[in-house]
Amino acid sequence: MPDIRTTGRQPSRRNVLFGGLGVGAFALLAAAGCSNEGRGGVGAVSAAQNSSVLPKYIPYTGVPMDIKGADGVPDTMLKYPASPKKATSGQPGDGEDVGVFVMTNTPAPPKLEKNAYWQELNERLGFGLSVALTPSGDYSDRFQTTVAGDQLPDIFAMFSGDIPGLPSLLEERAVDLTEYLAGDAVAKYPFLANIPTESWQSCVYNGKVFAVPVPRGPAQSMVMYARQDYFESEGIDPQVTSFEEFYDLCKELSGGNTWALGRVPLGFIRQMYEIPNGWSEAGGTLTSANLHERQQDALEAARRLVADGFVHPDGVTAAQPQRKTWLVNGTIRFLDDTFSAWPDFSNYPLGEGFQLAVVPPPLAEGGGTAGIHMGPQVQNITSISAKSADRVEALLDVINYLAAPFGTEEHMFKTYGVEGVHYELDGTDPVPTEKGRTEVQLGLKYVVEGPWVNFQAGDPSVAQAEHDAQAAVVPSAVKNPASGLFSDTASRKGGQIGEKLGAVETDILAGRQKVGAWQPAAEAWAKGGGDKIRAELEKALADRKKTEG
Amino acid sequence: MTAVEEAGTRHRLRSRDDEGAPSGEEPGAPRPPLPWYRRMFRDRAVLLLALPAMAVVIVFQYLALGGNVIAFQDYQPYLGVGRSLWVGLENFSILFSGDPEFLAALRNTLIITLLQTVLVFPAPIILALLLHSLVSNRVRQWVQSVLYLPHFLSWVIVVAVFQQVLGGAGMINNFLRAHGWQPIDVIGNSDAFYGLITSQVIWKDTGWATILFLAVLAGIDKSLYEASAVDGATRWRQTWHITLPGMRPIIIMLLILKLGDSLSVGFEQLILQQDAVGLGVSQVLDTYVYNQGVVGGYWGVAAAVGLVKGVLGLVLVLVANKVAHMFGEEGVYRA
Repeated sequence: MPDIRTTGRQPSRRNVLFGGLGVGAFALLAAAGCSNEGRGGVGAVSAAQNSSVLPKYIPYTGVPMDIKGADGVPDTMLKYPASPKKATSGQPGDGEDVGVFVMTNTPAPPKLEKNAYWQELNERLGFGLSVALTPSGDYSDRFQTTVAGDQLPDIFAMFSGDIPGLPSLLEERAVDLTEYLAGDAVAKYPFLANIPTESWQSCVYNGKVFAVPVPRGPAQSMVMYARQDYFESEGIDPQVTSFEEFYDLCKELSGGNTWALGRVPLGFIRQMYEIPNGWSEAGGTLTSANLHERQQDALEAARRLVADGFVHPDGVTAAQPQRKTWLVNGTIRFLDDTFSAWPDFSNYPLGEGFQLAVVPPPLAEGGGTAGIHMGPQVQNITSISAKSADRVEALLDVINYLAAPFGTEEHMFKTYGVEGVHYELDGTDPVPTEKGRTEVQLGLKYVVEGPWVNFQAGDPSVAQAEHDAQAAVVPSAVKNPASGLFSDTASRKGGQIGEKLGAVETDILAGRQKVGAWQPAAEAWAKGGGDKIRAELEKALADRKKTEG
Repeated sequence: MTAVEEAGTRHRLRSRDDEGAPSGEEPGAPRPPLPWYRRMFRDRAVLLLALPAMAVVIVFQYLALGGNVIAFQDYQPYLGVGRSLWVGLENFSILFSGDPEFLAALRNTLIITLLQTVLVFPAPIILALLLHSLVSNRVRQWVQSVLYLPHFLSWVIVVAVFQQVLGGAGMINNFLRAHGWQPIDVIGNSDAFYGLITSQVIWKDTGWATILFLAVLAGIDKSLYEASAVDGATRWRQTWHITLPGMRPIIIMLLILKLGDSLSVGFEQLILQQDAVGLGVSQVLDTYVYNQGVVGGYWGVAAAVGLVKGVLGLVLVLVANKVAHMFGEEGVYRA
């Protein structure tokens, strides 16, 4: 797959550290969303009021899963169901055209006139769907300018952690969906009711439901991928048992024009040093992972990997699709990414026998396995523009249609297109054709989606391996105690102070600053707003505990 | 801008002609200037031609200036200019409070400005002189075309090309490593960053910038060279006494204009390479404005810094123009 942004602007540091992309120890800090007032002077709303409006979870049972997930592990399908059934009747919406503004992680699809998938989609919808796509790394910047220019279309997606003053923005620019979705009301939109409650927490602000989530959770957790086929052929076991062993393995794998790592696996290393996932909690008191006593150990370990030449020299600047290419072509042997990235590899020209495995983080000093960090509950959220308030039910109907669960006819078409044109059936599996890979990329999966299902068309072993890896690491994953809580300061200032700290982190890894620079920078982070964020989150946490009784 | 300036110049030339040599009157007799509406009517065709360009300038330069009101507000995109809170000069406090990040951005901007003025500005002059000295027209045109080309590449491409050649896994380093030699660390090395971006600018834009100088060189009276050759002047002395003085007005004019945007040191080029070398060396005023405003949501502060930058640029142009007049040069304009 061609890479659209080989040298383009990277996801801003804030995206990486704080955003819905959910990377590293900071991931949930601001991505989490929920209660409290915003900047617009709306009165404080308790967590209780927020949880009272959460939509009821009514799981869709029309498609039985091959492997039912347990302990937080997502469901897995080894085969796509034969002849999927339509789960809706008639056409969604009110027949009027709908505009969508959404992020993408793939090259732009062909224009409507040259895109058979898009044309067929419009045919099925019964109206014209116009989609404005922006690469996810640039999305939040583009979003802000779109808001400033008052250009938001009917439906727009957001990385909730990336938008300063999000609740006030939603009050101004988004439709309050509470009366349509809160509690039992959501039953009218069965595919939205199929989204688990935790994910909805990121959609409720000021006691109102303002958005619809693209749910993730475990699937968004970062893990370390290894080229299992390479390790097997070399007779090496990539399942390391301490940091030193990992270091030695990286050393063995690097040399000439190959490197062990595609980028600095800081999240993986932090997990080895048992640094908490964003925050740690003890008796209602939160402590930021930034101030954890082992941060400098983790940074020192990570810095050594860079200084000794085990990380691809362009690893800092390359986009993730570029790094995936390196993993596929053997330039690197390890790459950290989310579980949801696994099926994505099928879009690359994979060599014979290509096989991935997940390496669980060992404790840095050995003697056991550390927990991975549980990913954020949402990939992003999607709202309806206040300007389209008079069409809200029609638009919710469209969103509901696009949320069709895995295994339905609607999902099959939305994800894979038309048989014989965009995919060929391999048994019952829709395997994308070249045309399918390009034309289907309308970003609809980031408008809204049903719960994550592990699946790889044409290769049940991938879904099985993904399931097995998840079963091994997800139940023990370290959760962020502040997940689903909202801090006004984090929303307004978190990005700015996080960016400063992130710059120090980058400098340390590149050897431009001493590891000792971290502690003062982290303290400056706390003083510059981190402490206030902590206090706000603690209050929200106490509120939540009271509600839960 | 240029189109309007041109139209304005034509307009002035035309009126001077009219005033200087009116038909059917005593030559030399002073005539009272026409009232403005008569002149407008007389020049209507020219003014009409200037309208589209004027409209562009008014909409995209002058009306856009109104946006600077953000610098005095706690601007929130979702509230718009109308409803955002008025905070007066609060956003400007960052300029005077000694915010280290702002000072670092200012320092980097000044370093890069200095480098660009000293190294980048003379490059096209030297190149133009070299090209001018080529005898064969065909060779010269071919060389010129090759040198122009990089100007038409976007910064994304230029940065990618440099990355592919000089990057840690680029052509040169892959070659070095394949032969067991030590790779050279250029891209991603903050110590080499200023050298890198200066070479990028020179590689990209020098050829294009020679156009103006070549036009000036072509306009220098050939007989001056012939006369000096008769007097026994060498090529070097000809360059020093004829060519360079002939180029001086245009060099000074361009230098003054350059000062005006000297604090804009290549936003796109820098933001594309910022992640590799860290903000310490690569944060400049433009990227600071972007990172504070669009990324960080502190639009007011960003606008304030941008406004100050613009005012400084204006002051620099005005002062430089005055200085040029003091040295007897035309400068950019005369009031």
